[in-house]
Amino acid sequence: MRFISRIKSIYENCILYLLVGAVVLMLFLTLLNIILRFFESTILWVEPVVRHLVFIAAFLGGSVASSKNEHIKIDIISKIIKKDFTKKLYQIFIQLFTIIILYYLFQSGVNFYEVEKEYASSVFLGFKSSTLVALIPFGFSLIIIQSIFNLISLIFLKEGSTNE
Amino acid sequence: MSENLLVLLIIGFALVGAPLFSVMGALALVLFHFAEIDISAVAVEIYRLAGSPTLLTIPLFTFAGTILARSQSPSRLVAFANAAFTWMPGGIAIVALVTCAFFTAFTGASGVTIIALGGLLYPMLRAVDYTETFSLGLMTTGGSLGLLFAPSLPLILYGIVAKVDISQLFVAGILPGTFLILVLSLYSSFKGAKQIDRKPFSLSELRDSFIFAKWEIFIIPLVLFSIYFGVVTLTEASAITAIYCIILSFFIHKDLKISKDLQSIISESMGLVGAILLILCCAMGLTNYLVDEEIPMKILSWIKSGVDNKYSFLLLLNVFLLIVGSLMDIFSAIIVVVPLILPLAAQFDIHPVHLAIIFLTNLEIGYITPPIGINLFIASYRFDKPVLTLYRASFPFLILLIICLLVITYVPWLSILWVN
Repeated sequence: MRFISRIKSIYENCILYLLVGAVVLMLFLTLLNIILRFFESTILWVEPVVRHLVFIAAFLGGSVASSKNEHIKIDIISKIIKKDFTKKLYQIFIQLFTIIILYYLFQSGVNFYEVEKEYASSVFLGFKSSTLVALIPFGFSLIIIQSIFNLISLIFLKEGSTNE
Repeated sequence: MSENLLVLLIIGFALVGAPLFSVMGALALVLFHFAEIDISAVAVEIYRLAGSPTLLTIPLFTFAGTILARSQSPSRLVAFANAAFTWMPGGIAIVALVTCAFFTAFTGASGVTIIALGGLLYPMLRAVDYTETFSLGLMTTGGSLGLLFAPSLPLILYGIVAKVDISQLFVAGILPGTFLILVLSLYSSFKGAKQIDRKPFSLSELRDSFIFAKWEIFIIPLVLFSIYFGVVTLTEASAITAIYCIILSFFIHKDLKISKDLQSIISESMGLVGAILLILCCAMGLTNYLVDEEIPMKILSWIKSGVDNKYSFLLLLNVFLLIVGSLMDIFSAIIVVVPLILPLAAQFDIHPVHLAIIFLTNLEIGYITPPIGINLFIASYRFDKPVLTLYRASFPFLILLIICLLVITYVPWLSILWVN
């Protein structure tokens, strides 16, 4: 279990570093274009790059929200359930549901990518539209991995130490 | 398993606490599957989000708000508001209302206001003999009060979902938002007239506190004026605000340290952004299905059978939205409900900006509407009081806000006076 916890911690740190990088980059690029505007110049690829950085940040942030169990939900039952064991079972049940749906969302992204690959065109900086579409299955796979870590932690966590 | 049974099962999962993004995603996947459309349609809709030009404003304004909430800005603003208002009857209460509104505009009423300012303002109110009930009610209400002011996250999200110009929403929110604060301030002054909380006005104290808080005080006016007069675009304003807050908190006041705080601020703010955008992503597929199936039109024909004019529709809309606001989180309410009511409101000739303000005022009130208005629970946790006490404490404020809502609903110029 200690090994899994270590891997989980490394994974969460990687996500966090990627997130910090994405935020810093989106700030820097937007600021660069504002400054260039004063010199009546602009870099055309900045705007789509920033939009895709936000898109990536949404998935990375989603993974962070998963790791902290901070996704928006109607959370009444967990507050009512008092017994640790029942609470744990209930949390495992919800986590399993989430992983299954995430898998299908991932699959939906893969299907879209395969279709897009056939008709891919270059969008900006030589990036093909299919590469950008691949962000969707990639993003969902990040959240799936985090959710699996959460599930493992839940199963092997001692009763009495369930989060929420 | 039949379509209806699966949909009911998924709704059941939502009620027992599954993350709402997974519920929206599941509904979209199931409905597309039964409509014999490939599930890639969900991903196609998700990818549309990357094309939204104003998307950047969500992470950057949230980031800026988190920086401000983590720094010493709340204390500096409270000190300034203290010097500016405590000579009036009910001055301390007005201080609380104004500072809460300022912070909610930045934190998007995500509960941060009550958590961050509660410990500062509640003892101040109690120290000048405001009753416990009044103080609790005021703090609970204050937690969502600045929702109509720029650059609040719900305003931006509404603009993205409803495809309404966000800079117009920023301007439209000023008068109704000020009206709400004014009414609550008058009520507080009336209550405060009986208290001994006034102190003589001191110009030197006002000047000193202004010098300390000057950088924070001008953030909202700067954002509004720069967008309104076309100096910068909305997305540029969000980047400039974020940079401004970084310089302010990390370098000018040095409240925060880059090595110690930046990473956790990004983690906190982007966690919230990720949670919201994931719901938005997954709901886009669901919304697309609902629009394809003409669900809003079916609801419209059902409503038209009982409601035949704009005013009755607005009344019905308010009742519906108050219920939604008390049951649902504001972000998911915007994402799910807005696409359904937009065509209905258009049929009754309601201005889209006016509709936005009505919608958000309702959700603002929903935060303190029993049984599960979220501010009631956050305040219960923050001040360690039973939720029932919070229900009682917030009730007079709830009634006042509902009266204000009716004024905002039936006097459209309050919302659209400054909108082109």
